[in-house]
Amino acid sequence: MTVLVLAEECDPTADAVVHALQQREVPVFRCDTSWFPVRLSVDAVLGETGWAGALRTEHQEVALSGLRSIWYRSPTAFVFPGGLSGPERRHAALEAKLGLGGVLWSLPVLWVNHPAKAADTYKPTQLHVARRLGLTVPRTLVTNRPEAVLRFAATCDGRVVVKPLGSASIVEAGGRRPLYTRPLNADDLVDLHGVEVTAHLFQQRIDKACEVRLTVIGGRMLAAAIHAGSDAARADFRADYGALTYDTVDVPGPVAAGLRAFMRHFGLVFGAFDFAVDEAGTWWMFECNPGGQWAWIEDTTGLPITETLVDLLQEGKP
Amino acid sequence: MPAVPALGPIVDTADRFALARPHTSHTGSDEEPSPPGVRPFGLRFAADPLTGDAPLPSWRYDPERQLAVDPGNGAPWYRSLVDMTMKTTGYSTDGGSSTGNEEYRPDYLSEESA
Repeated sequence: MTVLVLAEECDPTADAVVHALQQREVPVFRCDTSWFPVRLSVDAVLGETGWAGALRTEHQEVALSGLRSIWYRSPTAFVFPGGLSGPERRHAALEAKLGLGGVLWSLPVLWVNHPAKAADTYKPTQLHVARRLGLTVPRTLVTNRPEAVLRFAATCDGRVVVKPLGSASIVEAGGRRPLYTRPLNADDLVDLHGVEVTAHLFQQRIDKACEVRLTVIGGRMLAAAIHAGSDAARADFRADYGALTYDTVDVPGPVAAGLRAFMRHFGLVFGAFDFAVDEAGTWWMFECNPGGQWAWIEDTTGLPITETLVDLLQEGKP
Repeated sequence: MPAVPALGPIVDTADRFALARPHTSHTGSDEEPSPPGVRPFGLRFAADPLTGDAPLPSWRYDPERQLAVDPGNGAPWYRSLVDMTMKTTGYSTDGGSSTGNEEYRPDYLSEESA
């Protein structure tokens, strides 16, 4: 039984997982959706028990019935032969997605993660579900009304942050500019022009003893404490990697129980969670990234994240 | 543990099988920020553009081994990234100061330019 890896060619994280699977002599079929239709083909016939057929490249072939799991790493957009008009390419892209994607979607195998389930994890939805499941989350406001920001800030004693709902950066003026979590001061709250332009996420500011990157894979939880050595890193650890130190940390029982329920609710088997831990030891959940990265923290902590993922893909069940 | 009512899908058909922009063909925008009052408030605090990320070491994809390798010695390419630490890989797919892949990415069509 084969593990299907959907990832682009230039992906060192995918390489590490593919290599680990091969070292265990687990069959792997790796492809990127950008190879379809020129370098990747599909033929599938609907039978009594489901779709039967194969995926093929010039170098590899795998029967759909021979798959045990699919790792939806970060496949990239279809690339079509030249000569198609724009409308034709858009038509072809949708047909490819509904055809190839739909066949794969219906296979009775483990997905890590199923793209549809991962897609439903918008941040406000995550926070709502997490809170209902007993996890502690910061007080949160989503708004495009400046007056609502002022009211919210007053309920938080003026200690609020603003953070993006989606993109962690913006590419403009020829460069990529990160959008870190930003504590707001009294001066920031004087002029709130621009709030009305779109939805904004404001949260109660948490005094952090440390942050935790907690990677959940199947039933396992691998947690790394991130200790910030600068003001910038305390606001958002991504702002100053050079000021960080790491160690491993145990997950409190109630947090683990909430996370298991969270994963079940969204149908996820992989999730990279960000927490802050305050001086009282409370774990505040910020978000779950169902496609989060891990090599950077595995490298510094020794947490066996790659091997745990490989276990999951090999077993084909959570 | 209280039950949470199941929610219906909240994204459209395309995003439910979202395909990303290839990071090796990263393209950005040269457009300048809008003036204050027009620009979204949250973008007011965008950090300075990232600089200093080292270029990726050369690589080629080996279709038989199904991973990228060093063109010179054929060794798995990802190991050379570990040697130089994962944080220096620019728009890489794993961590690093760029945060390039740790974000929500809506569906992308290859004909898009930004």
